[in-house]
Formats: sequence, C-alpha cells, structure tokens
Amino acid sequence: MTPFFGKIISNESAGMGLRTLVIEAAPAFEEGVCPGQFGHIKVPNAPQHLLRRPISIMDADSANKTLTFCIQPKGNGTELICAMKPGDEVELIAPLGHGFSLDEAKNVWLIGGGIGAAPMVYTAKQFSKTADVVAITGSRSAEGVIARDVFESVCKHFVVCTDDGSCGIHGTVVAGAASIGGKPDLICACGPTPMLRAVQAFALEHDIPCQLSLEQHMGCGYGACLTCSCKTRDKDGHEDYSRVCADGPVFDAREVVL
Amino acid sequence: MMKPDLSVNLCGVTLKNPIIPASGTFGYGRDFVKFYDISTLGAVSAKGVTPLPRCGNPPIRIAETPSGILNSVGLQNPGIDEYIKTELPWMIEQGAVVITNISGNTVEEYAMMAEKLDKTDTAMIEVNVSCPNVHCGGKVFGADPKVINEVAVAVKKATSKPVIIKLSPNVTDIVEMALAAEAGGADSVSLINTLTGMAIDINTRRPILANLTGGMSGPAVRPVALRMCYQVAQAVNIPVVGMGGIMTGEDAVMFLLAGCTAVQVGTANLSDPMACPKIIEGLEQYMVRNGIGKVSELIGAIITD
Ligand SMILES: Cc1cc2nc3c(=O)[nH]c(=O)nc-3n(C[C@H](O)[C@H](O)[C@H](O)COP(=O)(O)OP(=O)(O)OC[C@H]3O[C@@H](n4cnc5c(N)ncnc54)[C@H](O)[C@@H]3O)c2cc1C
Ligand SMILES: Cc1cc2nc3c(=O)[nH]c(=O)nc-3n(C[C@H](O)[C@H](O)[C@H](O)COP(=O)(O)O)c2cc1C
Ligand code: FES
Repeated sequence: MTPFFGKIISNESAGMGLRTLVIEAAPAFEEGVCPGQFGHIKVPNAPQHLLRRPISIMDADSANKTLTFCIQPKGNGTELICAMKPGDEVELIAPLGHGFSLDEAKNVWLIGGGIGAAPMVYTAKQFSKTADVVAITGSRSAEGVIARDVFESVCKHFVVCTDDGSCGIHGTVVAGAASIGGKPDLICACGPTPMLRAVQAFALEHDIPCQLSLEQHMGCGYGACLTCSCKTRDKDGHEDYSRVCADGPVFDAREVVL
Repeated sequence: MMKPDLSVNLCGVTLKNPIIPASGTFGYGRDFVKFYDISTLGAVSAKGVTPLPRCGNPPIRIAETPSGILNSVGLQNPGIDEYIKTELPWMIEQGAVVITNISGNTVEEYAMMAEKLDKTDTAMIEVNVSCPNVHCGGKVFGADPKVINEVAVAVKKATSKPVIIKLSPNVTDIVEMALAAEAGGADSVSLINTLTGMAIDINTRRPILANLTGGMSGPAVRPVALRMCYQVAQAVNIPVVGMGGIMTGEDAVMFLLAGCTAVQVGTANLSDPMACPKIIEGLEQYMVRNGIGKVSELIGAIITD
C-alpha cells in the first residue's frame, strides 16, 4: 500500500454546502474496498496542514476505479479539499480501517445521521446484493438528504427523517427506526455521538448485533501514532483505548464505550 | 558518480544510513511493513515503554497547529515485559536495528528497565527524561541537570548497551543538560523531544486536547531544534542525534551540518508513511548533486566564519 495521487473527476454540490467528489483511485482497488472504510486525504497545496483529513468512502466504482467522497466543509482543511476542480490532483491513502461486515445477516438496517449517511451508500449497494436492506437517514431538512436515488433503488425501504419535518419523519433516526417495526439481524450506524449512543442502547436492549462507525481526531490514519483513541471494553469488562483508524472506525456496539 | 556511502557509526553500531523514525511516531513498526521494508532504515526508535502497561490519556489526543502538531498520547504502551517478549523480537526479525525508548517515574525504574534490556537484542537504549519524577513533585527529570546525571549513571550501571539520553527542550539551557548526561556516562544525547504547547477551540472555549496541554512537534519547531542541536554538538564530545521538524532530505542535511551524527524523523511519519524512505532518498540525491561520497563528511561541516 502507498499514498497515491488521484485526479478529481467531478466535484458537485450535494445540497446544504456538501460537496460530492469523484476521484480516480486505481491503487485503492488493489486490495479491494470494503463498506465503511475511509480515505486519508492530504490538504492540497497547504504544507502548513501537516495532517491528512479522514473522509469516509461514500462509493467505490471498481469498474472505473474511482472513489466517491461526500464532504461537509468544516474548517480550512475540508474547505481546501472541497475547492478542488476537475483535473486537479489530490494525494490520499485509501482504503484504510476496518469497515462494516455483513457476516451472514439477511435483514439489515443502515442508519446514517447527517454526513454519516455517506458511508451507507456503498454499504447499501454492497449489502443489498445478498440481504434485505433498510436505510434510515437523518438530516436537518429536506435539502440535506443525500443519495436519495441510490437508497431508493437498492434498499427495500428508505426512511428519511428530518429535524424540521420538511421531509419524511419529523424526528431523529431512532424515531425512524422505531417506525419500521420488526427486528433486523444487523444494524450498522454512522453519525454524531448522541445518535450512536441511542442506536447502541436500542441494539443492546433488543439484542440485535450492531456495528458503529466512530470519528476521532487522527494523526497518521494507519495505526502508528496512537492519537485516535476511543474507549472500548472487552468481554471481561476490562476497559482500554483502541485506535479508531486501524481497529475501527467500525466497532461492535458491545465493545464501544461512548 | 558512485553510489554515496550513507552509513554512519553511532555509539559503535553501524547504521546503513543516518535516518531513524522517532519514538512514538512509528509504533513498533507493525503498521509500516505494508508500506515499506523497515530494514532499509538506519535504525528505529520504538514507542516509549514504561515498567507497567499504560493506557494513555483520554481523547482528543492530537491537534493541528500551523506547520506543527500537538500530541498528548500519554505514553500508551504494553509495558517493558510484553515489549521484550513480543514487540522487540518482532522488529529484530524484520531486520531493524532497534533503539528501545524507555520512560520512568523514578531513577530506579529507569535502571530496572535498562537491566531487563541488557539481555535482549536491542542495539541501544534511549532514555526519555521528559517524564515527571514522582520524587520531585512531578518536575520532569529532564529539567534538572543533577537528576539527568543521576539517571545516566544509574542506567549505565545497569546495562552494557549504548545509552542515549533524550533531552527535553523545555529548559532554559539545554547545553547544561547535555553536559550533565555526558558527565553521567551517556554514550550519546538525542534532541529535541516535544515543546509543551496548547490549543483552544474558541467556539467551545475548551482546550482541544483533553489533557489541556500537549507536546508540540513538526516543522514549526525546526529552527529551535536546529539551534539546540548545534549548541549541544559544539559543547559535548559524544555523538548527537538530532530531530525536530525534519520533513525532507534537505532538512536532514541541515542537522548533519549542525553536528548531528544521525537524525530522527517524527511528525513527518504522521503526514506521510513514506516519509523516512523519501528522506533517505533526498539525502542521497543531495550528496550526489554535491559530489559528497560519504555522509560522515557532512557531520559538523557547517561553515561559520
Ligand atoms: C473515520 C472518519 C470518517 C469521516 N468521514 C467524513 C465524511 O465522509 N465527510 C465529512 O465531511 N467528514 C468526515 N469526517 C470528519 C472530517 O474528518 C472532519 O470534518 C475534518 O477532518 C475537519 O477538518 P478541517 O480542516 O475542515 O477542520 P478543522 O476543525 O480546522 O480541523 C482541525 C483538525 O481537527 C481534525 N478534526 C476536526 N473535526 C474532526 C472530526 N469530526 N473528525 C476527525 N477529525 C477532526 C482535523 O482533521 C484537523 O486535524 C470523518 C472523520 C472520521 C474520523
Ligand atoms: C504522537 C507522538 C508520540 C511521541 N511519543 C514519544 C515517546 O513515547 N517517547 C519519546 O521519547 N518521544 C516521543 N515523541 C517525541 C518524538 O520522538 C520527537 O522527539 C518529537 O516529535 C520531535 O520530532 P519531530 O518534530 O520530527 O516530530 C512523540 C511524538 C509524537 C508526535
Ligand atoms: S491516527 Fe495514528 S494510530 Fe490512528
């Protein structure tokens, strides 16, 4: 594996200030790309930004060897990445981390809050090949619903939840999940910590296998520096720190202490 | 021109080249073998170990500052025994020359770890004195020349391995600290460790690091590090291992010219996993461009008149 330069193929608005970038990334496909993995993207032309920015892989096209990222500009780093134009080159390391695994599940709920819906796009595409997938996404308003067309075409159900009620269910993704009824044999979730906490509680209470994708400020992104820690608990109840970049970003809900 | 000779002799150990990943930015090498062959490095300075396992500080542990970073990992490590049992032999199996970096809270702890390492295949021991001394109200070892001297004497007594004392830059006069290490019998000094710093999120009014403060590193500290290395190299008669913000082969050349026998590369590994191989290549290209046959010709070759 090695960092590589990828050409920007397109950079389009995805509503609410979000940008969707499609990047040429042939080297990323040498070992295969799993849902829930991320790319560690160098801030272009900005040597003062020593650290790369971790961004979830939203989609991976193995035929055209491209990766898609959906980015919410937050600070200077993501702003500079989002300002790149088609034809520009960006340096990235991808794919990194442990993603979601379907195991033998046949009936899966994918829950994405805000920008956390992005990794669910590729996850839905992959998992729907062998399982029934229900996607539940939450956003502030109708404009922030991402990848509606993909979710609608590959999922058995697509439940939209908005904070302002401008579209779908007026409320959180947990309310959205409750509205479906029934019980999946796997839940995968990505989003803000309070949402993950609620999903974790719901899954543990109903004894549903559950995988959560976490965020943490990162250094290297590939396991060496121990800066991206999150608290985890092993089977004996012993607490320790794990590395979000290499042990995660996806963890079993039973082992994460949120 | 012939391929230049990059090898150096550090404390009696021959290194293929003077480039060493710095402690804490390389783990125990396991995460690098997917990127390159770690036996191509001059040596590796392993993540700091302590007498007992440590889980480290709560997150957030890293912040980016202009051309620098702050970290507060808090010496997360599996403890000296586990290190000797699994991590050290693994690195040696990969063909790496290993410098074991140790951190303690008492002089006795340093000596105990050095004794345990004496029977291992570690090539050298690097003593991180940027740790709080529990017998001195938590004041770091590296801030008091008397204590540095004591640590050097105790560690040298406990082992026949070459001992490098790694100095803290958070002092008024680092030369005094280097001289104290040399007087205590240290075979070498390495510098600089991180400079204590801080960052605040003005929107939440909270410090970014959960630990409030952290260690600053990266190119932002390089001029300070270079000055300290130069002054120390002028003052001591033992080899100096320089570090602080080295990102390129050219940066490494600067530290060699200032009098360093070898250099360590820390933060650059976080920006780019290929940093060390690229720096080795950059150093070699500089030598070719300037017709320098042996890297040792560069050591201390600064012109000051
Ligand atoms: C595994 C993972 C996947 C992610 N996926 C996406 C995604 O698909 N789309 C998206 O828009 N964002 C995603 N993020 C969040 C994104 O990494 C941050 O918003 C981004 O790093 C902020 O950088 P900045 O320079 O714009 O902001 P600044 O606040 O200026 O960044 C300063 C420093 O803090 C770090 N930082 C700040 N916020 C975060 C955060 N939430 N997570 C990690 N590091 C942070 C930055 O990396 C940088 O080192 C993901 C984060 C992780 C850990
Ligand atoms: C994430 C991180 C962890 C570190 N851990 C250690 C450590 O365990 N022991 C030690 O002696 N120095 C440690 N350091 C300091 C580095 O080895 C080095 O002295 C410092 O970062 C300056 O070099 P640089 O600017 O090239 O990073 C650490 C630095 C970083 C960035
Ligand atoms: S970011 Fe370096 S270990 Fe995770």
